[in-house]
Amino acid sequence: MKSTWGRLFKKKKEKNQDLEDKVGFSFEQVLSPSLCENIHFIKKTLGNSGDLIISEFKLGKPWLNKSASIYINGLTDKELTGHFIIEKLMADASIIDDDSWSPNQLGTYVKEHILSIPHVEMITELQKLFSFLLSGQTIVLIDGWTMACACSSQGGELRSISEPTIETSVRGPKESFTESLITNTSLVRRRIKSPNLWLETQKLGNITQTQIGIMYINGIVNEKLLNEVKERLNKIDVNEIQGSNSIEEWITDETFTPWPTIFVTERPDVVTGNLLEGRIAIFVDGTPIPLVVPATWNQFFITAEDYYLKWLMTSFLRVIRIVSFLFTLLGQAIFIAFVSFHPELIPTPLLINIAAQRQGVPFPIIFEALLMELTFEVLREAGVRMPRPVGQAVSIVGALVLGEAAVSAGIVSSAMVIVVAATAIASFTIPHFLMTDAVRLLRFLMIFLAGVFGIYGIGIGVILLVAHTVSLRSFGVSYLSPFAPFIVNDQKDAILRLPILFTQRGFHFFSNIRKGK
Amino acid sequence: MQRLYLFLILIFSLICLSGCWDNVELKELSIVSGIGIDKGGDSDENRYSTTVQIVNPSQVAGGQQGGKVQSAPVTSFTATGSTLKEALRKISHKVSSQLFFPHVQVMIIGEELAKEGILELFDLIERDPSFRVLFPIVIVRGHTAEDALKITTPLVPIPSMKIVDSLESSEKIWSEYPISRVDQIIPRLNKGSFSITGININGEVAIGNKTENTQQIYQTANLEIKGLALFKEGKIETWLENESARGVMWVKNQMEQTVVTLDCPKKKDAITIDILRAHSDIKINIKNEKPVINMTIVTLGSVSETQCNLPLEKNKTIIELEKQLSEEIKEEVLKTMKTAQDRKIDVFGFGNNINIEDKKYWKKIESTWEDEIFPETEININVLTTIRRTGMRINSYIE
Amino acid sequence: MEKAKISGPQLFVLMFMFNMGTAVVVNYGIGANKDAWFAVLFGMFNGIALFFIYYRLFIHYPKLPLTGYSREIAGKHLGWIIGLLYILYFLHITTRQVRDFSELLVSSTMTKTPLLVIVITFVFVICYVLYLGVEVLARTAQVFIAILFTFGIVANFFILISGNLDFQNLRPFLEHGWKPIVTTTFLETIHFPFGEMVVFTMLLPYLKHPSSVKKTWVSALILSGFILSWTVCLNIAVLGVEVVERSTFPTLTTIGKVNLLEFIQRLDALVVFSMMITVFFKGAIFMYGAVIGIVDLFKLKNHQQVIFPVGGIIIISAIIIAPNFPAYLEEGRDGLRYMVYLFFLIFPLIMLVISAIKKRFK
Repeated sequence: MKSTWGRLFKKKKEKNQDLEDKVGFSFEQVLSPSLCENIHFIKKTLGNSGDLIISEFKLGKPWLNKSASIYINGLTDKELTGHFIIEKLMADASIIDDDSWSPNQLGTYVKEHILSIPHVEMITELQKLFSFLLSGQTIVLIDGWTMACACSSQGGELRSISEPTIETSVRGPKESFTESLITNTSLVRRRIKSPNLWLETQKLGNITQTQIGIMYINGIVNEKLLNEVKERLNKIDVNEIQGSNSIEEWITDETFTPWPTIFVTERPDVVTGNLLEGRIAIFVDGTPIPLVVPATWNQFFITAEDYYLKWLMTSFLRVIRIVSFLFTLLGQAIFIAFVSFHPELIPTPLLINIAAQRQGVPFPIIFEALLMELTFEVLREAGVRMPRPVGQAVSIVGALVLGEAAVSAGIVSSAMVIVVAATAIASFTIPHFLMTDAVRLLRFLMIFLAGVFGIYGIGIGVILLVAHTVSLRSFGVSYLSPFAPFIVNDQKDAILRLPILFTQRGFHFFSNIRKGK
Repeated sequence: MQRLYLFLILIFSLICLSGCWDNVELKELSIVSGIGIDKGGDSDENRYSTTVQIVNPSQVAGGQQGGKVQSAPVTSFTATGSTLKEALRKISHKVSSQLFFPHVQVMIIGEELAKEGILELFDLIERDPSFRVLFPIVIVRGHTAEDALKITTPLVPIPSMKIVDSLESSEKIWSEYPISRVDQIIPRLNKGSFSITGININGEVAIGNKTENTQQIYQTANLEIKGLALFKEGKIETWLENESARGVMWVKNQMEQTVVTLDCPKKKDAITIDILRAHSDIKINIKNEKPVINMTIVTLGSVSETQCNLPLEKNKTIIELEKQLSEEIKEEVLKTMKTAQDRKIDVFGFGNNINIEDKKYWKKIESTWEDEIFPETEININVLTTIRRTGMRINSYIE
Repeated sequence: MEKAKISGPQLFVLMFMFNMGTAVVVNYGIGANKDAWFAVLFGMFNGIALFFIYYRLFIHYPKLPLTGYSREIAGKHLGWIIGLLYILYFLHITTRQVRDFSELLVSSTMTKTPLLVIVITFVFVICYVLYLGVEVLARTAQVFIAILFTFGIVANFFILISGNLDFQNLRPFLEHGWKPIVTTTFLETIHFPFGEMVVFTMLLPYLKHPSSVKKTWVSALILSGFILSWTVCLNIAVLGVEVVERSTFPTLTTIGKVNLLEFIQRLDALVVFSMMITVFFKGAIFMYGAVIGIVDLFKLKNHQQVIFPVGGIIIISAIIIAPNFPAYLEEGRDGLRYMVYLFFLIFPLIMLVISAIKKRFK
């Protein structure tokens, strides 16, 4: 058995190596002094891409020095490139009125006096040149100069800051992250104006060269945790990084668990709150959903709205969420267990009603339950895929009509339909979709155990689940804190949210995370 | 690590493949709502004749599940056997599915069997986990339990449930006959004396058996809660009725609400007093090696109907009424006491009170208590009544 | 030995649930008839006295489990044998717990399921949790204590307002004198469950703050003692002493009597769940004690190697220790209750005396 598994894995590795060699992105070379050569090389490497714009012009009064500006159409802010680079170069370089300037002097002069872009970097390696070029910077080359100027002129069409689609709130801010890394980090910076908010960037993905940013508050965050995160990110050696999920799977602790161990959100205020608790946010360019580590179980039951409502309401809502969570997880299992294993534990009038309903149904109860569950899942998926105006109608109509029709046809009993519908609705109260996914999977396990062993099965399932959850760690922090290990202080924000008077420093504090336990 | 996964997979399949043993489909269950036990025959093989009343759910449940022919809401089957369990099992070849006992509402015992002794009947109920011990027992007078389970009832489709409802309302509103639950009877079985409520069948059993019986406005055949059976050593000794039965309730502190009628100067039994609350305290004194029972009954009542014109606006009248009421209650209780003492049945559980009071003394007299000492025991009854109100009017319109 | 550490509150929770064990559902202390509740309290006080023996031993050897310091005190070979005896004792009690619970389940609700299936699944769950480590066990206990308390409060509340309660059933006090109380205490309540806490001496080296042992142990003892006493009291009050004497699972019968408002009835599931939780922890702790002992005596690397084989042993023994339930109870009554004195009293006492003498002569 071992060798078969081994063989499977080995093959994959070799395949990867091949691909990398072909598409690898490492150049050892430096710029050559000849402008033509450089331009030629750049064109060749980019395969004469249609969006590569090279404009050549001459600097200086005698119009002797050839130079060129290179940028990629669409990635740059054309106004910036036009006004502040090319125009400036053409106009102000007229100061250079003789040819006694060496290319180096010329280049330095251009950088220090002419280019009025805020950030200009001098580069010599082609590696860096391509990296900057493809990030949207404009490269200025001068004939005879072995260096080039990379001006930050990133721009182009990006989605503007819009309202959050998944996590909406009534009273809180209505901004959500966009696909641009800089915009996202700026949204967070606007909320935490402390100099201790640090951002570290790196590029991951051999082909995609995606920019990744780690944000944390120095002083609150735990050193060990930070090092752990950085280490895991550095270990990623893959060709593509598309969306935060790819990183998630590389840096997550354990893969064999249904619970989400990394938190995601699309709201800046949520990220802000998490950073203040000592967590670390990982932004990925191109994704409007950053990751937050480490994650604890009760994070998935808190919404941003909680902090904008009164404490009584918040506590009440949170309790409802947890109760519905339990109901979603166990509701159907309990129904099956009682009806098929322990009918003696149901009050008599109710039992008679249920018995009457089941008279005409041909299937055993487990089969019914699984059938209804799967139907619901299918309807849910279908509703998501359909275009918006039609999608809502399909799921509602589908559910209602199918349910009614199935009951009348005698395929399922109405009690079962009610239970399935109730558990489905209860699952919608869970604020976070990752947790809902986990519950949807676990539910099947519970139904199975209940169908085989009745109440005893549910008990066993619960014990196994709790033991498994308790042993999980997300980046070294135990997943179920602050419940187990029980930290009294942190209970102020765990399930109930106590009023501010009780919490001395405000809302956010998870001592476990700061201690890194 | 591989071996671990293998082991886990083996266990998993073991569990799945072997099936679920306790899984029952509701369709396969016949929910039994009532059990009746009668005397079977004379031989050991058919000692008991048991009857079960099975619910027909589709006729009872709310909501239309496929409108079928109107049939009776319950069905009953009978079989005989040497033990209860055997007799119950034998019924299964008449029924299409497995008998399901946890929802039994009532157990009916035929008078004939009760006369011979019912001590042995309860072991099955205690021991078998599918019998819940909260259901009441009743004794059928003059008919068999089998007949009693055949009568259809109005308002509540399942007759067994109707019997329970009648027992409950009887206990709460008229407080004449208590509900005797199995778990209350069992501890007293060996000690000897206890009481069980009885039911009567009015009308013809054959008519009661049909569903037309309940479709009429007045049911010619119906079940009525009547009579309190006193048992000694597991056999019926005598029946108490009406006020004598009520006396038991007064003493055992089971009185909830009832109605007492008093005499008017001109008319007998013309004033009705609603009893709202009642409480009895029993204290035992041991004088000269003999126990003396001192009972205090405290009740609260209000005038609810008069048929003569009493001057109810005067406090004096009310006090008079109170005195009358006390006398009336005392007489009821004394009458009951006399019957119990004559029959040598300590229905009230005074023995236990003596045990609590003085355990050494009780140990001495325990064996002779019921037959020798109890019939001679001095009983002092003190009744304190309060009448608070007279309803919405003070004086009656009657001149 | 693992690197994990348990905190004081976690130990408290473990001890509490351990004490609840099977005692909270089973026929407990009824040898003293109506004064059973008093026998429980009496046993509790004796348990506190016992604790001080274990405590002294712990102070002398704070880093060693029982099997460790038995070798220090009694010499390598004799101590090894004593340790082995303890391991066998722990294994036996684990088996009894598993068998007890399986019998409860089979006799009350799942009557047709074969015993083996329940035993296998139950032991499997215990093995899984122990495999993950003692810290996971402690944390799971923390989560379940909340559930247990909720169930307990709900069940007690319903029993209290169900109207079935008649405290007169407990009178007269001392109906048969002091003798039954004393015999029951020294034959039953002192060992079960308070003397069984000797297994915690195997776990004490894992404590983060060894100074909190006294507080934790004694408070868990007292709290569980009171709650057990109260439960016995309730059972007698609701059912009457004769019924309790004859029942196999009185608490189940008591909760079965609750019938309020027509629909709060048949709450058996609450009691079954509670017992499942408490017996799980008791069985897990005993098994863990045995496993630590094995790791200690046989100098193994870590406990994970032996968990599943030990689980297998438990499964098989649970089936073969008694052919039927009355035989199982009889074995407990006639044999076990005298043998256990050896383990929870005699051995520790002797070891304490010897170690005190040794220290004196140093």
